[in-house]
Amino acid sequence: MQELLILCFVGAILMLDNAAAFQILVSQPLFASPILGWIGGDATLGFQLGFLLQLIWLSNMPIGAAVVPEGNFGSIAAVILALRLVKNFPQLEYFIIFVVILYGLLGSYVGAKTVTFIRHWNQQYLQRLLLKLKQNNPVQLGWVIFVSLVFNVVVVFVVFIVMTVIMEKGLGLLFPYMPEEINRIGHHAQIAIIGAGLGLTLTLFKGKRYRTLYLIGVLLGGAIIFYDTIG
Amino acid sequence: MTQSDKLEKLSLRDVWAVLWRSFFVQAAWNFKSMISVGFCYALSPIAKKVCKNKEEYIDFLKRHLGFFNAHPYFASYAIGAIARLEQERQLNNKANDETIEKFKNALIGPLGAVGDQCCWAVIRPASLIFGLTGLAFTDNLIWKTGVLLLTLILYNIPHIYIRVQGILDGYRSGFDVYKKIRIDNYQKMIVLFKAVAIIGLGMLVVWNLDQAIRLDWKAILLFTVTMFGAFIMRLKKRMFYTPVLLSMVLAIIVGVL
Repeated sequence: MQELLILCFVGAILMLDNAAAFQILVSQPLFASPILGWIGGDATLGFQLGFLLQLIWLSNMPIGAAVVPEGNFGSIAAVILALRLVKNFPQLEYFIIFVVILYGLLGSYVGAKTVTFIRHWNQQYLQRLLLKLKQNNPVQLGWVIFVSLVFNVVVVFVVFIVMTVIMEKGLGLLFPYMPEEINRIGHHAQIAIIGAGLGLTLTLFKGKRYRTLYLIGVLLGGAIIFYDTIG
Repeated sequence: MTQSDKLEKLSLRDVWAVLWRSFFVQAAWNFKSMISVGFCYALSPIAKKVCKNKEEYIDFLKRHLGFFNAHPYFASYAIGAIARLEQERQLNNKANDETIEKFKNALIGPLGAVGDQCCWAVIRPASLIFGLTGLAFTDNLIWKTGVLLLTLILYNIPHIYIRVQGILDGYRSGFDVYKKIRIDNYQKMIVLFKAVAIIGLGMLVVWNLDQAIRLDWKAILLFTVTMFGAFIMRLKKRMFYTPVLLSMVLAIIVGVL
């Protein structure tokens, strides 16, 4: 339980970077997953999930004030669940990766709802500020920012815990009856997810003028693989 | 003596105080005034300098707690410009409440558009692709961690540059700051990051093809179908969830076969 609390707390802190503070990239799955992996005692799984989840969400852009599916939220939730499940069912690791990626997609929807709730709640701070100013009382903006950040962390932390506990209990009932052969799905799922992720991301940089650069990338990648194979 | 000579220049301490607070510009984001609370917080060191008494400070906050939105990094251009205009307002009323308000509203569009096009559409995905490529081609956990640190540096150099330059340029330019908020001014950076992204994507395609070849012929087919399928669905129909879910379904079918 203590590990779950730590993972959810760190996840909630990392989620601040998503929009509320800094935005230095650490909330992205590529960074958040290995961080959680190190804390949860399975850095390799963290890196693996970070790679897959990042590819899925790379093409999603938060344009303007739009509330988009919260890929970072879903990804962090997915990694927390994966770390918990793999510890209990190590024989199903590849299948668990497949399951948590689906769960991450669902989590992105929950994340969008959570962000909307927090943003509605933030309106209260604005109203209180305006009321105080109307009464000619000075306001401490630093305090308002601090409280809003703490509220953000608390809400996300609670949602992560609830989601993880429900899923862990539910899947914990199902997984003991799963044969190890089901891992085959997980192996192919990784290829499929990387394929879909690359397909989605390629739309960000499309156009005939980029052909030469793509060719350079393909040749460079091929050369590295060739060198590795020979070595 | 020109007007700008009379302005009290921003000290390093002021720039640092504003820069630090600008990292929290979206902390109290809400649907009514968007980033205005964070914007006021970032401006507060300047406000405390400019306002002579409590009443003036309260007036300052009332003026700037109205609707305002911008890209979080590019908001620093508005912060710098408003800092200057507020000082000018105090000095000789060259800038008044109405012009400052109109000016702020006029900045919302360009700040959002340039920020999205520059940071969200190019610099961020390009940096992440750099990181993904690094992870794909390294096996050692230490190397992987090193790649992530490099990615963090690669992304945050332009990020911090935009924030600092925004405050300084905004303060120097005042009303003329709109001349600085043009996508052309970031073209060199965008071209460089696009090149990193595209070369990285090319490398990733080859890497995953190699992984599929090592598995079996079904995996090669699966990779090809999911990549082209997702590309076409995203391009033609702006779909996101469907291609990912379809790829999972295909993975189940291939896994069972």
